[in-house]
Amino acid sequence: MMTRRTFFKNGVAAFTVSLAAPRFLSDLARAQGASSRNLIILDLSGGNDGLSTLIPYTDSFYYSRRPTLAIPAGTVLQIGSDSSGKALGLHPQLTGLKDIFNQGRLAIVQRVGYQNSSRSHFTGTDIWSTANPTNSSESGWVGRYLATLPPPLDPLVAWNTTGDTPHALQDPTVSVASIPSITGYAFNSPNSGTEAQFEKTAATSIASHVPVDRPWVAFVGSTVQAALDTLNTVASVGAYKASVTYPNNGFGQALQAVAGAMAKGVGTKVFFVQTGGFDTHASQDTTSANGAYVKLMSTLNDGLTALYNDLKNTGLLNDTLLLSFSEFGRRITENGSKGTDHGAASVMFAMGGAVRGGIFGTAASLNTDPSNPTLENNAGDVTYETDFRAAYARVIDNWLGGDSVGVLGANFKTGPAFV
Amino acid sequence: MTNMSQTLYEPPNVAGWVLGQSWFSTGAMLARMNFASTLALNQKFNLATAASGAKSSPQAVVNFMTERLTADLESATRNDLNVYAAANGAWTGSTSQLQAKTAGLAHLIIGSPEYQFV
Repeated sequence: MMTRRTFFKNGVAAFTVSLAAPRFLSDLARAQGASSRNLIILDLSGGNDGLSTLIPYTDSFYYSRRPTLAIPAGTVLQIGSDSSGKALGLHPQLTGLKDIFNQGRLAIVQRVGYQNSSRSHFTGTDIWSTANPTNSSESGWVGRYLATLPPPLDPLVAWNTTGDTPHALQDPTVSVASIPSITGYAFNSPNSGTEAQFEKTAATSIASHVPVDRPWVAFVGSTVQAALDTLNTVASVGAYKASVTYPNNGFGQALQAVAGAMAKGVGTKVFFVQTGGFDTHASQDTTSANGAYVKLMSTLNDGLTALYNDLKNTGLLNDTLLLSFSEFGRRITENGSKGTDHGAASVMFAMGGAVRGGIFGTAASLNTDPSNPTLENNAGDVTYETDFRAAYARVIDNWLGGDSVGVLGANFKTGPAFV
Repeated sequence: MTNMSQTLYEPPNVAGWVLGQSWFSTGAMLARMNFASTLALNQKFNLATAASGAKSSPQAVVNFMTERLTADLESATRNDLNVYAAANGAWTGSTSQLQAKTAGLAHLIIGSPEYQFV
């Protein structure tokens, strides 16, 4: 029988000890003018209903297919039309994002996805994370990019604000710091004073052993070492005084930590943040004050707006690019529970000081005619127009200065020019 | 449990928790070590009472603890535990010393890489 632990052992055995650089080497690399550009990956977990984020408010099929979920045309935040002439508006809660859009620093890419979009949360997330629709168990696309950087990698090169390492950041040679809470990122002890110090010394030594016959133990040891190595630096980020007040929720606090890490210059190149709850099968409620989707949008808007303004105030906006993804969009026609089920293509956001703002791609026509070329699955789902890997390629080549063909395994240099 | 990303009945989505390497992130390992620390702190008195028969030497305390918290420890790790147990002043076997060392050892053993595969 395959137990959880044998799975760990078999899985981890394939990995060599991850190589986190000693602190002084990374300091050296930064002193030598290593690029301070960074990337924030935003995961809208659960499958975001793109048609409620960016609303085709002049499409009559949008209203006929969503009798309770359609957002009244009069309340959407109009942002103009796409290249096909379709008028579009943001969800009424996205007031801050509309301002950022007006400043030309928010790009919205429509209909991003891939062929035969998976309807599984699990597989869908793996595919978006690996950038490989055919083998979604390999390393993550961001991890693979980081692995191409000249060693030694900073132990904080990848800063994940969630509890487990996201698949997108995973690579056998890259150590990812997972810091769900800055205050919780500490070495506690049942004792105090010198006794606690002796414990920490012992824990550091225990983590340093590399049992060659048990690479999985060595792997966990290297993780503990990386954690102990970065405690003081991470604590310094906790002292960051933001120039704005971030929302007092998990997402807002994670974004504040990201801004703090940037301001303190701790050497992070990629951040990962997540906000969940997008799996709106029932009572999606896109319009009431306390509606499920309304709250999702206000969390997203308030967090991103605070981050944008903070980074603008501190002069870090030009070094920052945020890219959002979600494992899939949702069906066009609402279901019997006033919700929407797992769909296909959806919208993607890119935000930052160097972003070329605007609406990219064209909206789907929601006409139920089965031959409608912008829809698939008997006109039930939105068909992708931009391959998600083309968006990644744009980020890798034009923002990170990497080689997208090497990282993605093929040429996807046809992406929308949002950066 | 939440700090270890294992909030009961609340998996990240309907697919449940994912398998593999992601469980051993730096944050998750610190959370586990800190969980071990809290457990050890709360059981200080009981640990010291249980180990009172082994108070003759630091090494006896280490042996007592490792026999009960069975993990396949590397010999180097065992050595680290012995060094830790003998550190911080001469060994008297006093109750306060036993409390400090049994709690510290429980924390170190449960937080060790080896223990994660028990």
